[in-house]
Amino acid sequence: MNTIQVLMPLLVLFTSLLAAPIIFLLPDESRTARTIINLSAAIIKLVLVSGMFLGVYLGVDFEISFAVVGDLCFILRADALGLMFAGLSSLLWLFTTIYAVGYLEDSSNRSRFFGFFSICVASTLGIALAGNLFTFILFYELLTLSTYPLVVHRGTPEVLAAGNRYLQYTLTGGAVLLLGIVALHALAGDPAFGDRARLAALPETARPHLMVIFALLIAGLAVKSAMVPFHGWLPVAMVAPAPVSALLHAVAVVKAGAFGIIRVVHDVYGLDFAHFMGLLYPLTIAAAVTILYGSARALTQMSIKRRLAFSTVSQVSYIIIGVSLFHPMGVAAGLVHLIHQGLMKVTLFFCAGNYAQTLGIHGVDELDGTGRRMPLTSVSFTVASLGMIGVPPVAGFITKWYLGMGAAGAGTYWVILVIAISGMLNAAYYLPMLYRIWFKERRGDWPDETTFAPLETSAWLLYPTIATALFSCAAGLLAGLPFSPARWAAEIAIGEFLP
Amino acid sequence: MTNDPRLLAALPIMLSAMWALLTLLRIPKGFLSLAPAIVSQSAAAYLLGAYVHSNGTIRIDLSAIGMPAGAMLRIDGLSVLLLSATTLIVSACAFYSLGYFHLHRLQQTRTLAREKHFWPLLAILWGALSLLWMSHDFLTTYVALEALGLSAAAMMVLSDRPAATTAGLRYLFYMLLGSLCFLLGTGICYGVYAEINLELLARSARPGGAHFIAMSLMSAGLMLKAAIFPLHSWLPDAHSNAWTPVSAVHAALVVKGSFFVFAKLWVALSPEMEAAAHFIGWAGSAAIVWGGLMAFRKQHIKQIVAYSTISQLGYLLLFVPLSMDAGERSAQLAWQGVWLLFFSHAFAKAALFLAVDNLVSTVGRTDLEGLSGVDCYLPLSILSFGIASVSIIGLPVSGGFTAKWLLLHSALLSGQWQWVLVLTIGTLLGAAYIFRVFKYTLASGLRTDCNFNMPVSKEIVALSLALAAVLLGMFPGWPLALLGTGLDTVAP
Repeated sequence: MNTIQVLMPLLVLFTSLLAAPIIFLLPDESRTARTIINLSAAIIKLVLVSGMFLGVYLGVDFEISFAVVGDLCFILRADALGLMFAGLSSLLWLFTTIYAVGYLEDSSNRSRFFGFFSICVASTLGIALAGNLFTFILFYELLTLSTYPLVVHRGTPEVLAAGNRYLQYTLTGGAVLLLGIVALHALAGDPAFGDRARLAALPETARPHLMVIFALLIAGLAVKSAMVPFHGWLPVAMVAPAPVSALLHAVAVVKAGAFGIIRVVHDVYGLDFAHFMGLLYPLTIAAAVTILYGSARALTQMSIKRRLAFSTVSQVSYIIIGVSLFHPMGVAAGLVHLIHQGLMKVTLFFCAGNYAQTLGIHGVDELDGTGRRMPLTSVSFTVASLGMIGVPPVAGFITKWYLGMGAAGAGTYWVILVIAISGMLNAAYYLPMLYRIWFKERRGDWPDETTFAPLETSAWLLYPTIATALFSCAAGLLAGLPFSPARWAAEIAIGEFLP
Repeated sequence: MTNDPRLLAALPIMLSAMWALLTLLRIPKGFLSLAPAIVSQSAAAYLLGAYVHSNGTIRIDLSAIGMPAGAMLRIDGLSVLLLSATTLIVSACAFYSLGYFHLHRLQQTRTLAREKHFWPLLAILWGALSLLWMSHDFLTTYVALEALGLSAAAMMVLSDRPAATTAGLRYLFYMLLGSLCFLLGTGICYGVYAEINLELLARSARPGGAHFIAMSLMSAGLMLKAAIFPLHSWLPDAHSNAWTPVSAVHAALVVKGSFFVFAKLWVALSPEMEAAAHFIGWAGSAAIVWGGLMAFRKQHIKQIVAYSTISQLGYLLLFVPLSMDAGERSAQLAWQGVWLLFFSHAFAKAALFLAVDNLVSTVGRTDLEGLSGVDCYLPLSILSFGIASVSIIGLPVSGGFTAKWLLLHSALLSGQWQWVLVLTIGTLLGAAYIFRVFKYTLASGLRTDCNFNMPVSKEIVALSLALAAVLLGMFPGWPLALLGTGLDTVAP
């Protein structure tokens, strides 16, 4: 290995990790300097991650590892699966940073906010590139720590209470996960991701232990991925500023949980072994329950962000149900939804933020006639909503198509029914919003209007929204091209089944 | 000169004595006095470390200089680590004190009048600690513990607050009581084995009634000195009222000195004492939970930090049951875990005390509500507090995390599930009381009443100590390699 191959994962991590202390130390007023540092770090990171994509595509390894103590190793490695997540987070970090600069323009404590924002993205990258469970949990907990100040950014009593709830859930989940990881370590040494033969090779007497450990790992991770009954923190945490919600829901926290579940199922236990042990079916059921529960709860929410939050609860479990189906198409669906849900959900939260920041709209029933006042935001909102429902050609359709094929292939036909019902529920809570936006007339003034003529809202807020909406469409339309998320996911999934 | 181990071993103590003398005469003052002390002590620690690294454990027979037979100094990897950590932490706190006194000078408090007593006492404390880390027989250990306790008690009453005097005297009383218990125990031990050297005792120790009573007395005395639950009552008041650098050194090193002796005793003299070992484990668990709960209830931030010490000391005791009735590997993991926790707690707790003082002296209040919005003004101190508390809670990346990983691993390997539960609950309690502090500092609030004369050195020192605790978690390989195994520590 040459130096570049060793340094690359570290460089990717440190671009945002080193940006953090610089941003912390900048005075709140120096907005230009902070924005320049933020954006250049985001762009450098995107370029580096793209470079790694190309490298991995050409068969180059990027890896750094050293022993921390005994046989316990710190490993950062770029593999195809990790890069998917890394790509998502570095792309969306760029857009979210731009958006956040516009959104938080006149709030206080901006240096603190952007500092933790950078640490948060660094931990997401660490999670993506982690090469074993030990490295994974280092960044997984760092993510909890760095998102807490973001969630409680406004510092009001309501927000602080939500922050408490957030910590109670995530730290307890983290403790359970740690227990599972240490137990696995005590039983089987240090299983690197992809070293699937190791657990299967253990003597049969270890099987019951492996089942308990699987339950511990999944329960710990399910807290962050907001699976029922561990989802309670997510709807509460939507009191955070819109860019934070976008980050939490689309890239960072829930995705870290879902990504961890993929790693455990796919790279630690291995699908074959997990299926053989009968561990996948309970996971399918848990994910199905979450999908239906989240969609049903979203129906009755009258705050836009709360409705979106319950929608996240439901959508993230699409990833998990996909991976738990013992079929390549199911795995592909799960992996690709990691990206697709991120793109669409970030768009939806951006739009919700635009409505709130420009017109003072927070409730679903205030949306009447916003289509005329803010056409571009509303088009983006529509695109992303249709994607969530599963209308072609937006990205969400690809997921549901793959998922259906996977369920049929694996012979678990009831999953198709679950997806169909969930799709109808999705339509039932997204379409009324679209109806209000486009077809209902506005009566009276907006609750709290700010004008940004000639644009409908601030350019900092508008362009990232449009960009992510375009990406959601592109991911669906161009699903057949070599570097599209769908194609990349399918290749990982097929590689798993055809060694 | 560097070839004579006797000289090398005497060096840290002689340097401390010289510095004590110079500070008594007050030539030179301030930084000019401190810098040579720090440099020479670091050099001494380095030379000792290099010697031990290449030649192995140093043993020095003290009977040659008129002490009774069996008295000896023993410098192994653990002693070297402890000496290095002491040099780092005492130097950092001494350097911090310069800024601390400077700030008090600006505010014209009465603290100044007693500053002149601080430096000689610190020098004596430093020497006593060095002696303790090298001692390996009951007599030298007792002498070192007494010198340590007396100088520490004297430093505690330096603060002119009435509460500090009361707490300091109370500490003195408990400390003397602890010494008495320890002395009684060693007396019985001597009566049974006619031996004061731990290496020789380890070979001849056999279970029996007198042995049990001796161990109980010595353990109780040391636990009282180390503020182990339920013998901890002197600590919270003492630590929250003394001068901050005093509290920091005390929590980081002085209480741990007694734990060091305690750990050595249990490794050397514990054949077939499983039930007692489990009792110690449960006492530690009670300390973890009680300390955590009390820290969660307190309104004054220094008391929160003090109760956190009680909770953290409880973790250290878990190594007794873990290394007792288990396989070799799990005993080794427990030994490594407990010392890693020892060191990371030392750095993190010192950082916590120093960072808290920065916050408190800026807002002029010690209660949590007074801290709202302080992070805009002291981002570095809040950052230090945050980094240090990550290690205290045991979250990654930190020495506390890696240590807890090792302890968890050891508990799982030896099948002692109860400690797994204790470690998990302790971690969550730690998170609860630490994040309660953050909840207040992150609360929105604009301050106008702050004192903005914070010397930057105070902030830098706190940050460096906190970072040391983090680095220990990422790169524990070097210290753990020096540490060896538990049995090495008493093996002849």
